[in-house]
Amino acid sequence: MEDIEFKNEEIQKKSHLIQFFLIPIILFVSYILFLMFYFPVKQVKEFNKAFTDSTLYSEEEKIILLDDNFTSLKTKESFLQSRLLMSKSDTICFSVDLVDSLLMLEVKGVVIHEAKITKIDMSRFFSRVENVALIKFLSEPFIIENKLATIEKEPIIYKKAPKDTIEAAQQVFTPDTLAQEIICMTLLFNKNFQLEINQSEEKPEHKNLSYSMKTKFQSFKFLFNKAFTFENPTYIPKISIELPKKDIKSIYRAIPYHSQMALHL
Amino acid sequence: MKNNLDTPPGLIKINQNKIILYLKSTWEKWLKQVIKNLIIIIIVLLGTIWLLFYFVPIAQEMSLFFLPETHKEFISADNMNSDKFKDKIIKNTLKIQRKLDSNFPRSAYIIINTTENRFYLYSGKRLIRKGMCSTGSYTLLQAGENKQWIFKTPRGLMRIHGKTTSPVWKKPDWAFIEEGLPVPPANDDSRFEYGTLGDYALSLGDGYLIHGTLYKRFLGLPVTHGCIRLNDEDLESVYNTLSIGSKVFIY
Repeated sequence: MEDIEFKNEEIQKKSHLIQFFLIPIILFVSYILFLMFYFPVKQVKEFNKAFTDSTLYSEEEKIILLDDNFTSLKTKESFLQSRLLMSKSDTICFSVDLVDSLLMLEVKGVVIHEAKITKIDMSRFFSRVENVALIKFLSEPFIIENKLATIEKEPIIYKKAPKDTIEAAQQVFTPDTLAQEIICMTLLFNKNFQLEINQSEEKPEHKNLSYSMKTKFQSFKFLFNKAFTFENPTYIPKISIELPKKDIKSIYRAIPYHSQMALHL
Repeated sequence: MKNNLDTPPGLIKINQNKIILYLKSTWEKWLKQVIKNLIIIIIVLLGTIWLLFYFVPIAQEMSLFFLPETHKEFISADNMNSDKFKDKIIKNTLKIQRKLDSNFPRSAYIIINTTENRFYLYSGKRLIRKGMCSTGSYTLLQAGENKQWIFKTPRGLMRIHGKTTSPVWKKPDWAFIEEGLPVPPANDDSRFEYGTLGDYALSLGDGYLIHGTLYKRFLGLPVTHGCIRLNDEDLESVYNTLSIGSKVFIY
């Protein structure tokens, strides 16, 4: 009898323990599910609200703009408008033309470097938002707020002044032209938008693990910081493109920390 | 070897059995449980990382699938109005395009890529010449606590400020410090070097020049103190094509 009672007590203890751990796990998983499904949908609504200007178009024009052919004309206009605004600044900026698969570096409206985009992967978000809102979204340049890359922005080599000519002769530096590196970068823009640029050449994931984890952690941090404070959108629409790595390197080293970008979808 | 020879074989076997028994009892007592818990913790941890870092972004993207697409391929009922609207957009687009094109330099200009160490010489939209150059090495030379120089080529839009033939290089302080030599007075003879900058030099302001080089094997590499080095033929072409005020785009 005592044995059975003891066993019953043990079972009860275990079930309490399971409940103690299971409830937070269930709550946590539900919250994750909520994050997964609610925020992107909410973000679409927020986007439409934020970028729809009722004074810009007449009701008839709004109906016409439901047609993709008209929208593509309008997005082209927005893209050029955005580039024109960028040309007023003295700094190096860039344009991403996903229609012509081109990435262009520009200074004062002059294209100084052109790179062919070999692959485009775009979030479904852009096909779910209202055309009128999308046109407004693209009509002004994006400003870089944060960037991550696998390479250094400025590859500085530190050198101590030599004491004499013998030490100076030993310090002579020749750059390593055979160094193999993986070149990828992620840019986060002010209008809650992320652009990921990866090299089109093959890139073994294990060599890229640190960068990959860093980018994932950054998105996770962004998501959770906002989720815990119950602030607005926690979903960042993303576009991934692939370019030859020599182009990514030139672009990354050329653009200033808070560079501007024009986008053509 | 010596121990094995001295100890009788029966005793070795007993010792081995003891070790095996000890390991077995340890395994049964606590090691089994610890390893089991450790594996569970690792699985839960990896699962959570996968869920948060990988699955959440994928699922967020998937959730958008349930929203209807907004692009409807709508065919306008009133063609007159839609045509007017289309004309308006096209007119405005052309106007902006014209404004953008007006930014394009009408005279000759040069583009320098400091990452690839290449130059492109243009006359209007026509590429006249391209080739290798050398740009800043990104070396930070430290001499004492307060003295340091960084050897990088400035980026952005610059202009040709001046043009000279047979330029003479007046060596600055860092050129002596870098070579481990004592720094001479300001206008000392040892500061002036003839022939090292090639036949021509084009000034970009702030002491930066486009000039020639004796070290042609380094063309295509970032080895300079911030100036742009070209080979003799390219330098001559650039010198003859660009005039004072010409644009120099460096990126």
